[in-house]
Formats: sequence, C-alpha cells, structure tokens
Amino acid sequence: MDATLLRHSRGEDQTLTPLGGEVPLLSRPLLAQLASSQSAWPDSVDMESDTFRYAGYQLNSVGVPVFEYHLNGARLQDHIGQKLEERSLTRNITVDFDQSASSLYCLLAEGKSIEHLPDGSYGVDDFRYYLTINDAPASPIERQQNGQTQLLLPIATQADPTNISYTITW
Amino acid sequence: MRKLLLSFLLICISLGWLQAQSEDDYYRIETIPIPDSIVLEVGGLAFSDDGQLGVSTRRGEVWLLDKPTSDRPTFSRFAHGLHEPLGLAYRKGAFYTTQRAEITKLTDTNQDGKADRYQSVYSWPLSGNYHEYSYGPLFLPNGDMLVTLNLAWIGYGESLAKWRGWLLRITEDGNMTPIATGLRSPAGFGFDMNGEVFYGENQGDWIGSGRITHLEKGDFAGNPAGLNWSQEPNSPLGLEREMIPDSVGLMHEFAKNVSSVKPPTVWFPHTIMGISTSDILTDTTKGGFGPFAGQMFVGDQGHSKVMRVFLEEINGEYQGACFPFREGFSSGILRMRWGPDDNMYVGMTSRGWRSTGPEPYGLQRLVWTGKTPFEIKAIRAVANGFELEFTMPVDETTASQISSYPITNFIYSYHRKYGSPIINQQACIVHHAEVSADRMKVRLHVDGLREGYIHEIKVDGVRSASGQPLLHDVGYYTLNHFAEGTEVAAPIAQNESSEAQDCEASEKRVTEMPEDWDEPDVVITVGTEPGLKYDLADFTVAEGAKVQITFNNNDDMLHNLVVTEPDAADQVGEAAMQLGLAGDVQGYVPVTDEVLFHTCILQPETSESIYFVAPSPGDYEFVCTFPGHYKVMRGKMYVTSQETAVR
Repeated sequence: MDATLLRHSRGEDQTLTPLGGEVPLLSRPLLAQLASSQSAWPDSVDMESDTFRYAGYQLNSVGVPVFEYHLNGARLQDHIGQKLEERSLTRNITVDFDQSASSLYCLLAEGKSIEHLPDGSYGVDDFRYYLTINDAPASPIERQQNGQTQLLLPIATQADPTNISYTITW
Repeated sequence: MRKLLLSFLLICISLGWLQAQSEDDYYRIETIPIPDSIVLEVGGLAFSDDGQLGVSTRRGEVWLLDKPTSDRPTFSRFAHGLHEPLGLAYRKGAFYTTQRAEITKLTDTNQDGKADRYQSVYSWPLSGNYHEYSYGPLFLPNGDMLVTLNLAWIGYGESLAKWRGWLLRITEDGNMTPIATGLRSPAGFGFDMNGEVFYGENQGDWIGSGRITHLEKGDFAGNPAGLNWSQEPNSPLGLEREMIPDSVGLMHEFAKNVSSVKPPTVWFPHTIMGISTSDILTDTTKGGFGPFAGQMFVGDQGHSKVMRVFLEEINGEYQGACFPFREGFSSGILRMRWGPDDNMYVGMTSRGWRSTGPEPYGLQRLVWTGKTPFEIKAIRAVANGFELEFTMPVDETTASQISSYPITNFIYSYHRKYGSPIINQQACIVHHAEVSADRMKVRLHVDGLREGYIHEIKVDGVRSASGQPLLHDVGYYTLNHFAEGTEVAAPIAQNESSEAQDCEASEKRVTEMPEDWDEPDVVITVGTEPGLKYDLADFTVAEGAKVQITFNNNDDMLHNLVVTEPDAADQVGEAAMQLGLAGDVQGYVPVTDEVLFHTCILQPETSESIYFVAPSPGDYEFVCTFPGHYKVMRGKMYVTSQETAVR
C-alpha cells in the first residue's frame, strides 16, 4: 500500500492506495452469528456492540500479523499464510469457543455467480477469481441474498479449535 | 563631572547585563543527533523503567533510544505500521500508544528488542477527516488511561464521530468512561503536583486564545461540537449544544449561569505567549531542573518555545500566571518529558504546521546550567492586589517604586468565530508596592482589578539586590476569582463584550473598487496551501496597472496579506511580532512606510479584495504578518515597466 497521502503535509487525504492491481473480494464481515442459515448477512460490524471486540494482532515468526477478534464468546484468529504461487493468497482462520458461545458462520465468497468446478474449487463472478477450500469443519452452503450468491461455512460450537483455510487465485 | 562619570559607569554596567544575559546562560538547549535515515517526526515520548527513551512518530514508527542521556544515543526500531501515534507511555514492561482510532499496547514477548504484540486496548470510530488526531495515553496512578480526541475540521471544528472533542478514561481491560468535553485541539495534557488534569488548547473557533484548563468529570471547556454526544447515556453532563449561542460574550460570566461550563485556568495571550500550546509537564525534579519545582511547563508548537505556569487555588478553583521561559528550539514542540537526568526532553515536528524553529522535526534536551536566573517566580492574588515572588532578593529602591509595575487587564470574546481580538482593555493603577523583609516578595496594591480578566503584569526596571535585570519582565495572571478580602469596585463593563471593529479602510487598504475605475486591469487571486503557504509564489503586473488582489483564506487559521517594499518582508514581519497587545487591534500590520498595501486579518473560509495602482518597477514582496508566519508565508510581486502577461 502507498501511504504517502497520510503523511504528506497535514495528511488531508486520509487514504491508502494499492500499489498493485485490485481484486475486490467481500465487502461484508467475515464472520457472523445468524439465527438460521437463511438469515441475512450483516453489512457491517457494530464496533460499539458488546458482542464484538477487535483485540489487535501478534506478529508471527515471519512478521505477518495474526489478527484477533472476539465475537459472542468465540475467539477468532485470522492471518494470511505463506504464498503458494503468484497471484494467490491463502487465508487461515482459527476459532476457539468458550462454553457459552453459540455457532457462527463464515462468509467465504459473494458474487453474481459462484460456479462449483469439477476439481472442487469455486469460480466467482465469471471466474474473476478462484477459491479453493483447504480446510473446513463442514461443507459450504450456497444461498441467495438480494440477487447475490453467497458461499457460507457453518462453524458449530465445539471444544477443540476449528481451523478454516482457503486460497484465492486470480 | 564625577557624577556624570558614575552615571556613565552605571549605564555601562546595565548595558553589560543586557548584553551578557540570555536564556542560554541558565537553560542550555542540546540537540540529540538523529540518523539521516530516520524521519523522527515526534508524536510521543516515554522513558522506560530501564532508562531507554521511546519515541513514537507521525509516520507510525516507535524508535528506542539506548543511552538517551548521552551525546550520541543509538536508535533501534521497536514498532511500525501505526496510524499517526501522537502519544506514548510506558508501564510495567510495555509501551502504550494512541493511534488515531485506538490505544495500542506494544509488547516485546520474545525479547528480541522489537514489539511483536500490538494489542488493541480500546478503539473508537473515525470519520476519516485528517484533523481527527488522538492523544495520550496518560496513566493515572491506578493504571487507568486518559486520552483526548481532536475535533475534525470542515471549515470549522466539528465532532463527526463519537467522542471527538472529549477527554476519555479507559481501563486496561477496555472499559471507557467519558469525562469532559468542549475540547477543540487538545494536543497536550498532564497532571499538576496534586494529580489534577490540565489540558492545553489552541486558538480557534470558540477559542479566543491559547490556554490551559483544569478538567474534572462533567466539565465543558468551551467548544460546543463535542456536545453532539452529551445526550448519550454515559455522558457525565447534560449541557446541550443549542444552549451555547453564537456570540456568548464573556465566558466567565456565562459560566456563572450555566452549569458545567469551565473557564480557562490560565490564558496564554495569542502571539504574545505563543500561538499553539502543546504539551504540559509539571516540574517534579525537586530542584534538579532549577528554581521552579512544582510549577508547570507548557510547550508551544508554532513558536518553538517552552512557557512556564504558576498555579494556585482560590475559592477551591485553580488559577494562576504564565511567563516566558525558553525559546529557540529547532522545530515545533509537541512533547516534553523528564529524563532520568532531570533534563527536559523535547520532541518536535513542524509538518503541516510550520514553526519558528526551521527544522522539519527534532529531538532536543533542555539542561539547567546550575545558575539561577532573576525571574518573577510566582504571582499570587492577594486582597486588593498581587504578590510577586522573585527567584532572588530584589533591590529595594527599584522594587518599591509603583511606576515599576504597569498593569493592564483585558479578555477575549467567547464566540463561534475563529479566535478573538483583545477586548475591554483597561489600565490598572498600582498605588503601593511593599517589599517583604527578606526582599523575595513585593506586594502590590492595585485599583481596577477585574474578575475573569487576564492581568498583564509588567515589571519594569526592577533589579535584583546584586543589580541584575530580570530575564523576563512580564507575567499574565488569569484572575478567575478575587482573593479573599478584595473590595470589589463598581463593575466596569463587566458583561459587555465590545467586539473590536474590523480593521479600518485606509489608503493602504482600499476594499471597494475606486469609482474612477471601470474595471481592474488585473485580478490576482491568492489562496492558501496547508503549512503556512500562499498558493501563488509570485505574480507580475505592469507599472501603473489597476490591480485587484483577492485573498481567499481557505486555510484553518488566521492570515492576512501585506504587500511590502522590496526586501522588506522580514522587517515588516518582525515589526508585527513586536506589536504586543497592540498587534491585535492593528490587524498585525505595523505602521511603517515599508507596508504598501494590505488586507485585514481574515477568518478561515473568508476572503477580501484590495485595490491599488501598481507602484514603480521592482521586486516587491507579499507576506502574512500574523505573528510567526512571516518567515515562510510569502511571495513576490514583480512590477515591470511594460505590459506583461499575468497568470
């Protein structure tokens, strides 16, 4: 990211600019608690709510930040893993539930179209990018919301940490 | 003849003192060298328990200085990737910093000298406006933290996101309690010796001049924008924004009738005692830093200097006096902290807001040389007057003359407008000056004291017992309450705020197009750019051309535009600095032949056009003479002998 505009003069334009090309992904929160698998996905996170808290990040051994959130009694860790090939990113999420926590869903992708390919991967929005699930606690659910197709992953409450990993390639 | 010689000798001695004495004799500025590869735009300073100095920077880094008290400390980067962290603190093995949107705890968990844990203690929303600076944290003894949140700037100060304009208290586990509001630009705050919280405020909309204010739970310090959130369930005050009219009058009178309103504890008259108060640091060195133990130091970003404050409690509320202390730092002072060596470490930046010190950033330390300056140590309110305490015994003859103490009082308007002229100025009469038995104090009996007013107390010609003149001969006492026993004279225009007139039209300031012009030959439009700049470096007009200059002040501070004779901008700018209390009335335009044409001082987002006939050919200058601006905010007006195209 180019942070020049934050640091030029008074920093009037408080924006960052991507140094490379842009691949728009989700514009909604990654995780949410839904009443049912058909409930609408929220547009944003209520930063002031008691149920959500951003806790910061820890730099791992290679200096990559592992972000931590708390949502409804679940502790989430989220980081970008080692790059397997150019034009790809792997995201790793770990969910730890405490006893009182309730089940969550993870939103993997959203687009006008999501096509399930024979090799098990998904092509999003006319193959603008591909999504491959590496590790998941359950099978994903496809559903519609406001004319958009969404790919959801249910995460049931359990004692052991749940690992989710997926790779996007463009 | 003998008498003449003696006088001559005395004059020589006096002159000798005048020439020999400087602030540097008593307090020496040392520069800490910064490696060329580091842009150390200081946002925060904090010493760790093991004597390292942490420095957070506006570029989002935290640097650790090893052996910071030595001539050449070594630098290592502790943290990076932060969003303009404008404060730093250290507690129990961790640094805490305030980014724009959160307090962050930085911990080195693997002991490699670099932070690897960036823990969000508490976060708050931002609108994205550049002016949403966040400052702190300041640790309370129990481990709770205080932060202050700057207003956004959208042509005026506004609270676009929750708790902007507030002082907040936050526990280590992230519980937040709003404490006080009315803050506009609260870049510096600190404790006094009693652990009470004071914050420094800059001149701006609703804020007539720089000042410090004692903040307690439920206080409202003056700028109404933060009241956007006063009806939230956890707000400690119920004051509504609509209850503050656009032109209030005098703040101390308003405060008598409207609860929660907190008048300033000490005013810092604008341009005379600085232009942008920043950090607050109380002298806890118990004498290690000289004779001012227990007093407060206040930094000034724009004037690159440190001022001094004496506080006392009258009627259970704080008030007191400010004094000049030390100028000449290298850049704009944002932070001051005590080192383990009892020296004052001063962190600076002038990006975006230029300072008298010309460097873009810097780190210096202020060292007491061990010599005691002859200074007014304290001014106390006493019945029907003031008591002045000095740092050394005074000469009885000069100190007992009433003519040695010219006292003037004045105040600023409390209104929506940006800044305020000096209003209701009156001279006081000193009718008796009584020197104490130990000659350390002088008690002044004064007529004309006014409650709520700033009292300029000059000490003119008083010598120490050894014949030394004062290093600084003035103090500004904010008399919020009379001392017990003061007999109140009939109030004089107490509740009227006679707004000063806009500066008057003259032949140097013609704001209507002359009737004998059909139209101007040339129209020059000049705006501003951030960082004290005009948006036009130069323009060219022909001799005798009918010129209209429209100065559009689209900046967020006060400016004017003064056209001067060739190579006279420095001289005119310096003369404007020397105007003192009178500068305000004159729009900071000195009366001199070097000034050819000028605008008034313009509020932000206002403009003015002036009309004149271009003088004989030459390279003229135009400059902003608002004190502190002239060194950088200027351009050239080239006048040619033939018609030349202009921009």
